Amino acid sequence: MLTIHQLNKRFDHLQAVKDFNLVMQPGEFVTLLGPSGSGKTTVLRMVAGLESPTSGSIHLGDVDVTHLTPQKRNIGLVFQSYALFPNMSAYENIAFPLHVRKQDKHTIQKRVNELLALIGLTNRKDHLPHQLSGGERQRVALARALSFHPPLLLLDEPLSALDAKVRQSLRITLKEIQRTLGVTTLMVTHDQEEALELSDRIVVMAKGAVEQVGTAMDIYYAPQTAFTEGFIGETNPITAEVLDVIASPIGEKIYNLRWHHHVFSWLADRHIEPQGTSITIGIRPESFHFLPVGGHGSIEATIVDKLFFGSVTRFIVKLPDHTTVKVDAMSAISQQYPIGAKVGLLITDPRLPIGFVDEAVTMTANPS
Amino acid sequence: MRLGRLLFLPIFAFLLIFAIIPAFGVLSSSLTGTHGLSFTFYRQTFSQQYYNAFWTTTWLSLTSSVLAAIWGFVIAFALVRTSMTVLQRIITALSSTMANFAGLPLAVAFMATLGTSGILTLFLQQYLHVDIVAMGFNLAAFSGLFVAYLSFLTPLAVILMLPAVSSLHQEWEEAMYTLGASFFLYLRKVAVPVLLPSMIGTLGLLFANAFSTYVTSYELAGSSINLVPILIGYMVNGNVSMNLGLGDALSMEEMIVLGVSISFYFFAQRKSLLHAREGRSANAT
Repeated sequence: MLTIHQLNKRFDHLQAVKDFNLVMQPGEFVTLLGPSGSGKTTVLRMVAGLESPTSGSIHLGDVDVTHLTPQKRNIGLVFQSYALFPNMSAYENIAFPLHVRKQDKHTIQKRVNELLALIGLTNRKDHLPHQLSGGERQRVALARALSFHPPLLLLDEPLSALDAKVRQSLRITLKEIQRTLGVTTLMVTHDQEEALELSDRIVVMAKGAVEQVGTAMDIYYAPQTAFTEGFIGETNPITAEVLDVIASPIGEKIYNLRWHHHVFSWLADRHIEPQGTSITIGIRPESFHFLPVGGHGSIEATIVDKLFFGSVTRFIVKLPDHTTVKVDAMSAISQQYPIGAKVGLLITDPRLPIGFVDEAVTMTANPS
Repeated sequence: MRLGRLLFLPIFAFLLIFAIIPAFGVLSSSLTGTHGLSFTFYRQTFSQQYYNAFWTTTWLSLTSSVLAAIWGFVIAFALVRTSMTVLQRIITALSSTMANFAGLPLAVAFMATLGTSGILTLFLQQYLHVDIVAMGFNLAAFSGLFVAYLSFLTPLAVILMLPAVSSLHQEWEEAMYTLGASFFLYLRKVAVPVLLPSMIGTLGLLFANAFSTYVTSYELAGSSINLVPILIGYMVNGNVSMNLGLGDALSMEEMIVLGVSISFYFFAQRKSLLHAREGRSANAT
């Protein structure tokens, strides 16, 4: 669908984008995720034709669009600032690209009404942009970008100008519309939660280059670079002893590891190799679990602090060697674990099927 | 709040002493005849000579301010879009200076360049064989005043248009392109409609400015053109015939014209969409 090959962009002395490659499948939702200055918006603008690349190529299907004007690319783009035309009503904004394409009145009317119904703004179609709320404006912008059936939809930080609650509900709307229409979508965001929730695949970018490409699960649980690990969520780096390596039912490599006498299974990651008999991996705070002290081969640990985050509570837990780890648990159960309490600590890999952990532990405990 | 209002006192006092009280003075003397209240002076202003003066002044002011507004828009639009910041700064500074360069110095400058034996007139005649005097250009007539008015109205238009033009969002233009529209369609469908209230407002101010121009027109044309401010000058100074009451009646009529054109400006400002960004609360989805 969209093929970007060795894309580079240089502004005077700044290499904004460095050897960027991406192949998108039809209907796929891919997100470029990175901090400001990572080059993600520049990539998006080059795909839209608003910026010309220094080198490299962009293909839309079989067509080389690298040097085409934005008008000739037929790509839908939603801006962070909505960019609705202030002198046109919601209806006129959505109809505009169809007028440009010289479609007949009846077709335009049918298509615009269909889209207004899809975004739930039929009763506000005659309002000017300044009479609409931020969320409504962004929905109109989305409908306008989709009105001419573009094969590719680009979203430039589409939700970041909205407040948290509207952002949350619009995320769901966005995903639903994308699924319903099956339009291939490339989004730019710096919001990791948004990226994890919406994307089929995520491209993590830093300093103009791609750090990692993968599914939300890959990016979250198997960050391949220190940058990705630091940028997305939090991790506890631990060094564990490798007991053995087994194959999962679908052929993936799984390590059985021991850490503080606790034996657990961990899905192998191509990029992290054991150093001799030990391996350093990053454990997400929510991959730890509490048990009663001494339960099921757990580590005996002490809760030294608690931070209430709303639905989740973060515990700072001290291990027998006096180091600490961060553990997240649902706030609903946090009352059971006061500061100073002794607990049993377990690690489970959320990527492994339920029940697999016990099996692996049993296998390691009773080698036959 | 109260202290804030007190700070406006000097301005109100200034307006009262130098604008409002004199205006009432003009009004009362224009309505005072030998036997008390009288409309004689106003009746006199409806004669052919004064009708012609109003017509010439309006036509000169309208044509010069329309052209200045269009030209000003084009320059402001180019200034906002250029990446040459030095040029941008030079032209903005030059516009501020030029907009205030009027009166006697401007008249002298024009006589020295475009007068019958002005440098530019002679240069065109000798080197390019273009005789602008023979072509009908006369600094002391409509054509000359038209050019002179443009020289200060255009920079004024640039200064007045710049804030509005620079608040056109770059994203509007980019959105137009990604939706398949050309630059001209962007101008026609978004830039010009959005800026229209500012353009009308600017036009109102330019017209008022041109209509009330006195020193420049008097020094350049004197009695060879029939303009309202020049006539008022004659009545008040007693150059030809002193008639304070008639001068005051003409002044009142000119004030009405200025009031109408300035109210265009305020009306247009209120209609501007550029300042109507904040709509309903963002939570109300």
